[in-house]
Amino acid sequence: MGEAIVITSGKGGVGKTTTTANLGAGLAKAGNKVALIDADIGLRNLDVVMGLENRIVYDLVDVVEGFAKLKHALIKDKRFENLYLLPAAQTRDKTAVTPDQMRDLVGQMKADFDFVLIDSPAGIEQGFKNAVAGADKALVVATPEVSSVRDADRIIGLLEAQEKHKPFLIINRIRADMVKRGDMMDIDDMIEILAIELLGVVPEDEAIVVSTNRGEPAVLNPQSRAGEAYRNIVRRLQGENVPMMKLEDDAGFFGRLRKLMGFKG
Amino acid sequence: MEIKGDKRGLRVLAHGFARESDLVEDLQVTLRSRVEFLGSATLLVEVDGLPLTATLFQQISDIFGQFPTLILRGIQSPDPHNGLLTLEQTRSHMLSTPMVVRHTVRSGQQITHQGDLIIVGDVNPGATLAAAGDIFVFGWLRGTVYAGQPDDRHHNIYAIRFQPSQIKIGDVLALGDGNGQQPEYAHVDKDLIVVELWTDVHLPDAVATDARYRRPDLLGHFANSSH
Repeated sequence: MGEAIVITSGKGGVGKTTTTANLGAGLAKAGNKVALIDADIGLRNLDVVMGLENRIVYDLVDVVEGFAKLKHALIKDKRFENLYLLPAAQTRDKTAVTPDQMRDLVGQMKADFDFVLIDSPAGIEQGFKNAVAGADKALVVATPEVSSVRDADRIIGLLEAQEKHKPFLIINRIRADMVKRGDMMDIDDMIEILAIELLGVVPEDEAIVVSTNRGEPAVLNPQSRAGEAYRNIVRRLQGENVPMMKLEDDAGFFGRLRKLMGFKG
Repeated sequence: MEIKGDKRGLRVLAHGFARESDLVEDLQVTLRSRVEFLGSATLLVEVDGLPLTATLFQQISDIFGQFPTLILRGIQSPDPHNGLLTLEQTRSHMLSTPMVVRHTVRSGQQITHQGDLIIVGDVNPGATLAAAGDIFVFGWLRGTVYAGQPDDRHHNIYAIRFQPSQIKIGDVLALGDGNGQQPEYAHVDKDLIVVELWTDVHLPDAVATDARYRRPDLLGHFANSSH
């Protein structure tokens, strides 16, 4: 029985789809049987980022509505035998499926795969509810911007209210030079507000833009810094204890605790 | 909404509403259509099916403010446990026991309480608290908090880190300045909200002795918790 993980954020454009593609490719490279589900019905992207858009015949809605069998809709990846994509429908919208249908579908896929990664659409409406319905675990992607952190906080509140998911944080597109100058929120600022466990920090990397356009996940590029960060997250998802990549001084994690304990006496 | 008259006077029956906003909207429509007929009547609003919260009181009295000829005598619930609440009574005597919330209040979440409100955790930007009494935040206060609702200025707002985006005590409103690096509290002094150092801070026993509230989650490892 595999594990279903939803990748979500609230805000758009913070890197949910890129994260899903990279973690999927990374987990597959490590030998796991992985399925990616694009839950962004009507605005499908994950197939493009994976470089698989011209192979789509059936999609998620076809499967849910019974027009296609799951095994016919799943697209096998170009690079890995053990990586599959269930694409979103492009001609429909979020109301085409219900959370119950998603729960059934994901449950069915967990039986066949080690990891089922669900790429959630932006927002907190039906598309989000569909995406989280079948998930065992949630990864919340946030960039170091006030608006992104605010939306991530909202999403975490909604996930906690369901008492089903323990959300984990992925900080994306951080720039150490800007943090150092005080022009960007740092990791501690974000953790202080969001107060959930940090799963990884992905630095801003031009290689991501190139790899996204080429349909080649950066996690497979040994030169890419972001790829390295994704490889670390992949190892943590498999239960390994990997230290955080050094971006800058990380003494602040303990600083927060010390501040709180200071009021005891 | 129906308006009934008997020996107790004129009653507006606000029954069967699922949300405060629906009740308030309907009340406004009802009063607008009957205002001429009612003349200078004194009315009692009877709320059934919704808790009598501070915000509901505030909203109902705001609606009556739009109809200067009408007088709001009180807001009551037909539930015998609640009895009859006149506006006068709700101000200080009818506060409920303090409510303790033991988690971070996140963006988009809203907590209202007809009494004192204690938060063991942070109040994040975009979160809203409203209480009839005092508000204590044992953590970072960065959201919007209203104490002494609807109109009692004799209440305070306390926080270990006082950085609210907006606060209101009674009917006095102030915007936060984003500063605040030590425990502080706000109170009303001559129509102004004043923020002062909170020097006699001591955590409630539940907080000081229970390790759960020291946020161990910040130090945990992913591997420990998931596999």
